Amino acid sequence: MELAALASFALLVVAWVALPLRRPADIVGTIEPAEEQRAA
Amino acid sequence: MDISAGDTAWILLCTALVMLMTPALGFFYAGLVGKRNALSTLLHSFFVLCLISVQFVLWGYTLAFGPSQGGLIGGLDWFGLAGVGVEPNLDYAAGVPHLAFVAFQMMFAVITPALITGAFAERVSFKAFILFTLLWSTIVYAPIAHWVWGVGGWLRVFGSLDFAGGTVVHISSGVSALVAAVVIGRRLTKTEPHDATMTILGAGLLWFGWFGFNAGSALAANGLAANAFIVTNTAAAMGALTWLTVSWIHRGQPSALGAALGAVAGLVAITPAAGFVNVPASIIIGLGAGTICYLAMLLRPRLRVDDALDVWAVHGIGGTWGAVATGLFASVAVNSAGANGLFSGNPELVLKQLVAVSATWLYAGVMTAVIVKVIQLTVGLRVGEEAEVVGLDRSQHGEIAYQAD
Repeated sequence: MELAALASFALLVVAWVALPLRRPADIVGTIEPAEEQRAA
Repeated sequence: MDISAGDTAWILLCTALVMLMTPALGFFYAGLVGKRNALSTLLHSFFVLCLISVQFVLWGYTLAFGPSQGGLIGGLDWFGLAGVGVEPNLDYAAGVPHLAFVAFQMMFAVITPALITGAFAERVSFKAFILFTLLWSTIVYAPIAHWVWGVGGWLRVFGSLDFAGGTVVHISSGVSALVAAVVIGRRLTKTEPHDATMTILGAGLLWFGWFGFNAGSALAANGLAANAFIVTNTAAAMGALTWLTVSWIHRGQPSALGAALGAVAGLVAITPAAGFVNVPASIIIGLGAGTICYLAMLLRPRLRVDDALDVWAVHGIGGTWGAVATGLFASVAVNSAGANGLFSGNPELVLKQLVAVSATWLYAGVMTAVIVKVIQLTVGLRVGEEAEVVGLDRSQHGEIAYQAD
């Protein structure tokens, strides 16, 4: 049981590291471009 | 047995903690509705606290916990709390005054119908809401509480386990919410959550109050209460972490509201198990709650039911998972008065849990349909279209939650 619990938690930690943070399509264009993007 | 000062202090404190959960639920729900319905949603919870506080001392307690009538409902022997005093009731809580046990149970009876109001949000008239709450608490809550917790109740005798209300509170309210939402029909327009901060504050206060709900259900200040306390906290945390992660996988971003909903899902799922499972099991129960309830939330719109605040997905499905998980993970090493579950060599407990789940789904679902239909045919359920567009705050109560737009 303890190992299954540890594996559950480890699975979440791995997911947080691996998952990308996407910008969903519906907010693209509504956010002001960052300073470095303006400069470019 | 003499009254224990420690146990009595603990139960009275837990009663106050559980009382806080109902206004906390109001904040949790109010943040999820549009700003024109924030006040009416808050009032639903606050009003239920007042209404059931009176109903319960008059007839709710005796129907739920009075001398059993064939295992189905309590007798009227304790109507108006006649004969219920400071002496302990040895059947229910031997170390605390009977009145303290009544007060503790009252807060459970209060929050259960308040949970259902999430399905009503933004379209049901205040009059219909009052009638529904009173009828549902009497006809649905009291009998199910008697089956599960009352001395002689048929599910208690049968041997199914429900430590703090997985069937009595969460499955009953979650299934009833779904049925009520079907009969009431969909909102004219769906609204976005108007204040996520309010919802997260509500979730935090619910979590705080849930320590009273679960650890208090040990009915004594003892080791069992400590076990219930820590498994409650662990499952809530895992529920939040899991829901946030699943939403991140599904939608590409970790959701703040998802963390709040996941914590509540974890708390719901650990409720029936809190006095029967150990800490590692609570991690798995929280993981299951965050995943299963999220999937149920995705399924609900496909059923074309406007259960506005996902009471069914979080409480109905979370409670069902918790009841089944109790059958899987329960151990007499945690509570000698309980039973072993599947993973401790007793598959029979899973079957007993499934019987309790099925009976609660069936009874709550059918009786709620009858109650809602009767109200629909008499005083009516919904406000008019114009009132719904204006919002219930102004149309039902003549007040608004916010002065500035």
